[in-house]
Amino acid sequence: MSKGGSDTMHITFWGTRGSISTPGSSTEKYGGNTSCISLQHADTTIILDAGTGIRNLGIDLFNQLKQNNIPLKLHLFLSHTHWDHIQGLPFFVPAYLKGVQLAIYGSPKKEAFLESILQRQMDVNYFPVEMNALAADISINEISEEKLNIGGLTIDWQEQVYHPGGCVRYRFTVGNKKAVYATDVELDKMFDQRNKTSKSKSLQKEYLKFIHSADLLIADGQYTTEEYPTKIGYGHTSIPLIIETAYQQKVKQLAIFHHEPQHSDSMLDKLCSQFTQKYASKDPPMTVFWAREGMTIPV
Amino acid sequence: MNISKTVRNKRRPAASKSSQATPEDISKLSSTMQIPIVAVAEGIDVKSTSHLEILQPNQPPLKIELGRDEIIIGRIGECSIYLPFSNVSREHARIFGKGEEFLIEDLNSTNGTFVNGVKISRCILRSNDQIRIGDTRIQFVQQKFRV
Repeated sequence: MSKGGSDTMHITFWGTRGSISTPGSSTEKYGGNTSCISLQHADTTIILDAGTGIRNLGIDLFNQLKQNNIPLKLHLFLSHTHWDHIQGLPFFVPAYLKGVQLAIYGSPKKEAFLESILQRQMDVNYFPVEMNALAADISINEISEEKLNIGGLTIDWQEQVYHPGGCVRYRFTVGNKKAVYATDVELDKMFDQRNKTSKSKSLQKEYLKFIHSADLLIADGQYTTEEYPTKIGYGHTSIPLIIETAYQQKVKQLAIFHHEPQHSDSMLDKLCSQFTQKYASKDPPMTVFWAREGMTIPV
Repeated sequence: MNISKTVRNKRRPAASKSSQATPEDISKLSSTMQIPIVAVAEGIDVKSTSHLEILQPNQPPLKIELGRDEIIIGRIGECSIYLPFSNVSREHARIFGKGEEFLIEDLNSTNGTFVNGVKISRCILRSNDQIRIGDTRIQFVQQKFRV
């Protein structure tokens, strides 16, 4: 793959579906695996979420290891621990390999410790291999610092309260390039006109500042305007709202993510054609696309 | 709710031994020919044909069938798809097969490779994807069928 300039981040979608994996011929184009993205910058490998898409990423990393014999140092950032963001972890091949370093990061504000949440997923009642038996060198970290520096990347994060149980958004900066991962948040609630408290105004401002002028924003766009009224409180955003909010904040490229399981390829194609052209022809233009498995974007 | 009671209530009385049908009885009643499942699975094969339709400015459309050989798209004469334009890099992008899929990869070009309007480093191609390299439009067309 082309490496681009030294500041280039290569972002690959391994799983783009929300809620539950949806295999089948009607989801072949955009993909049926749940949330997983990799971000490669020089020798640094960041993974965002461990939905079922992480299985294919694991196979790809294993093949790289066989080919190059360069030890894997992986950094997995979890937005939250709902199933569709952690369920692939027990099937992640590098976790079973001695010599692999896997650092997992997540919110410090969970009621239970992150380590115990992940361990419970691999309890013998749910999965035959316990987490303690994994051969990789795994560290589980509840993030305490405001900013992290890994390789040439600076990573900052914020809690997103408009999702049941909470969720973390992350921003990755290299030089003047910024990529933001802000999935699983109900912006329709965040920007509800009835929200007039100073706390809610402050949360709105924080969000807008966080995504402002991002070179790539990967954002929750699970529902259509017609679907949203029956999904209030589920913690996901309606598509026109995230697109317009991103445009107002001068986002350069927006990847709609966390696709609704009921949305087929043909429906996502229709949504794509409805919005992509409209925002490409604006001045200034914004690229809007629906994230699909197997696509790598340079940022 | 008393769960054990509910479960007990749901238990059906066991059928008497004499009324139970044996596998032999069932096969006698069946008029369907039995085919081992392995034979059924081995008999199905997924085939696909894939090609590119190239639209260059002021040129008639060109069709290129995709096979096992890698295709290089670029400005130099050695490229499989030769695009002699200043906004195309010498070796701009490549298309190659991997398993049952075709991928396109940008070769660190100056002006980028686009799939459906999105600048990509690499992308698995799906039927009717529109590739743009310079001013040239290339459509990827794939048909899959079971034989």
